[in-house]
Amino acid sequence: MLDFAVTDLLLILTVGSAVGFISGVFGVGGGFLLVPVLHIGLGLPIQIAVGSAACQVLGPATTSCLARRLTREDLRIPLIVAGGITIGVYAGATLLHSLTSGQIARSGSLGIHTGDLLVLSVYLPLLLTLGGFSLWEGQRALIRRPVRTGWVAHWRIPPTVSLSAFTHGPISIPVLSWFGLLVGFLAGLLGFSGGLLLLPGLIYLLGLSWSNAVANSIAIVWLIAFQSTIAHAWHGHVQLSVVAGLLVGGTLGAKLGVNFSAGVSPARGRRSFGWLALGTAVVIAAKLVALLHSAGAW
Amino acid sequence: MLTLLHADDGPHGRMPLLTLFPGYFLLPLADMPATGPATEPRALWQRLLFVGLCLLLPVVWGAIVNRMFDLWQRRPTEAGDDRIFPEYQI
Repeated sequence: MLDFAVTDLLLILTVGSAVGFISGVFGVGGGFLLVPVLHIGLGLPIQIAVGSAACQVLGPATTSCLARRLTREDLRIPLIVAGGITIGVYAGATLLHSLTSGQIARSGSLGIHTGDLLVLSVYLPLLLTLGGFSLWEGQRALIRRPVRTGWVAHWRIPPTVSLSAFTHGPISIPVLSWFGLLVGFLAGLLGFSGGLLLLPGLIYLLGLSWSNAVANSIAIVWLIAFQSTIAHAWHGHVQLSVVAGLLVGGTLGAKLGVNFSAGVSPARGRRSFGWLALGTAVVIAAKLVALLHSAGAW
Repeated sequence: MLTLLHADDGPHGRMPLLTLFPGYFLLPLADMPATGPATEPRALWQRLLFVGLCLLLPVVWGAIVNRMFDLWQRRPTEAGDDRIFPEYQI
């Protein structure tokens, strides 16, 4: 029997509150912070950190869906990308499971957990890219030179569909599906909600307006969280005690964070988020260096 | 460091997971299949029930939170009210 002390529950509640607070301040999901904090800070195995973080996302995602009262039109794009998301989430979660169990759990001569290595190695460039982009985009917004949107909207690989939400004309269904596949794969592998990629992706890659991107991302995040929970729970990677603590702490922290952030301009908020993502990337880089150093890789 | 899990444990080597959940005795399930693939009917059902529970817990929590905020903000719930709820997480 494993030991689960009250102090552990308090620790999880504190982590959930802190991450929820930061999420509330910056208006983003906390999944990208949760996994590094649970794994690096609290020492949870990477697959449990990923699975539990993915499962807890379903709570706030459900609240957002119910509160937003999505219309039928809000579900159109999420259902189009749902096919890609399903395959992506399954592939990501299965890859993580195969790397954290069985004979390939440790990489050959180095003796490093390959799951840890892969997840942290994917997180690092992802957070560096998103952090750098947020700083650049926030700076451009502050000097009133907004970044152009719809970078891949002109890739009209048939079949295409004309939707009023897209400001750059007809959008390619394969491009939408591949976008869903990529986001789903990363969400399944890394345990975050996908919102981190969805909002900039829908706006800057696909050319959705801000309000449409928010409404669509809420529904897509719920789909991702639902499928990630199934995939990770099936492999036994969800720790319900951790999920419960994160849900309670995260709700309280998020409410405080939303109140705290009132009055901060969106552009400044995105710049602050950029620094937060870069700071998290530095912590992950330090962990990777420590992992490789302890294994005698150099 | 937390004491409830150890980095060297395999994903199925430390079950039952649910016995770690405070108040697990309220749940209809006791644990997850301890080892091996979910080929046996009992292991398969346990796995399916665990997946269902993992889906139910956050969804119920999310619905309760939404209801609490409705009551807290004294917001009517009938259709047609389209005030924006603070999206603290997406």
